[in-house]
Amino acid sequence: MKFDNIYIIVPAFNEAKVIRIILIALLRRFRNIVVINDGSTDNIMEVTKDLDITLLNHEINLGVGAAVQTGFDYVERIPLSYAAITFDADGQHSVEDAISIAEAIQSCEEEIIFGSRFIEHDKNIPFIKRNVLRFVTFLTKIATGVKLTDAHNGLKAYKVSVIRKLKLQFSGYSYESELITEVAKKKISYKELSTNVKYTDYSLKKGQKLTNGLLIIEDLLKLWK
Amino acid sequence: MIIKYIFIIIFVSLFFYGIIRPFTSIFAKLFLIIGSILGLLSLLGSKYVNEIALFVGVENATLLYLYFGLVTIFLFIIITINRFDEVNNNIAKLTRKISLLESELNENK
Repeated sequence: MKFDNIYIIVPAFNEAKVIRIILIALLRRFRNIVVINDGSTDNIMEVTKDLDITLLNHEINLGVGAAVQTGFDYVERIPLSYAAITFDADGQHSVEDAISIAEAIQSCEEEIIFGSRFIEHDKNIPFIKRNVLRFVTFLTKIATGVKLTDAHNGLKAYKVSVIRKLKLQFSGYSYESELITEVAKKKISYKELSTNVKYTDYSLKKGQKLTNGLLIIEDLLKLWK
Repeated sequence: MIIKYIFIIIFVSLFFYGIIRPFTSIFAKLFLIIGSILGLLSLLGSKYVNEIALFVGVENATLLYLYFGLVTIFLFIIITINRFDEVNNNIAKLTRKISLLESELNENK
């Protein structure tokens, strides 16, 4: 089954080592894949050039938030697009979860679906990371009032109608907190869906540093004012 | 003595420059004006600065200068960081627009 009106947004920064395998796996189930090369200095262009994907290039590295926003801008312009799914390029998400979330966004009334690692698969998250994520989620809940079990999971689905409502500004990881603030402010309907996570040495090394939690907290304070 | 006159000329120039120059922040304007007045006072009669210091509840003129300097530095840092954020945001917007325009061009080819 191909999801003709659903677009997979893959923000990528120096992911040439793994992205090809991930994109090939995604292409088996999804027709529309938009990769945003966020100022990579590796050979990501070469390893993806023969694949049937749309590649957007940031000339400089801006951060995952800006890359996702570029993806949103692209999808928003396509007349028949219905939804966009954000999918990390480091291999921590599974294609099966992307399919579940795509099916869910097509049939549900909610406008955003947040993937959550904490509903069933929290044991797969390393201990310290798990507790830092819980703490950030707790702070996000206090700051925004939005009840989520996982505030910083890259796997999410958005209907295009809601992408048009969102006004995101943050370029870094904290765009996720900004998104949740927007959900609260604009009373956007949402639900959570259980997703798995597969941490490899590569994704742990490449992924978000735990100290980035401090930057996210700083940005949460900016959002709070 | 010559040095004193040079500093007087500098502070007077700074005072008028602060009045004439358009600033984006009123705080920057006030700091330049007040700083140059304090500088002039310290040259023409340090007892006046001491009186001002006592009036505002600071022990002496030296401490008043120190506090004034610290506040100026902190304000400068905050204003500079905000400017950087603004510039970064603008660069991000431009970069994102360029990437979308490039993709449109490639699609039209």
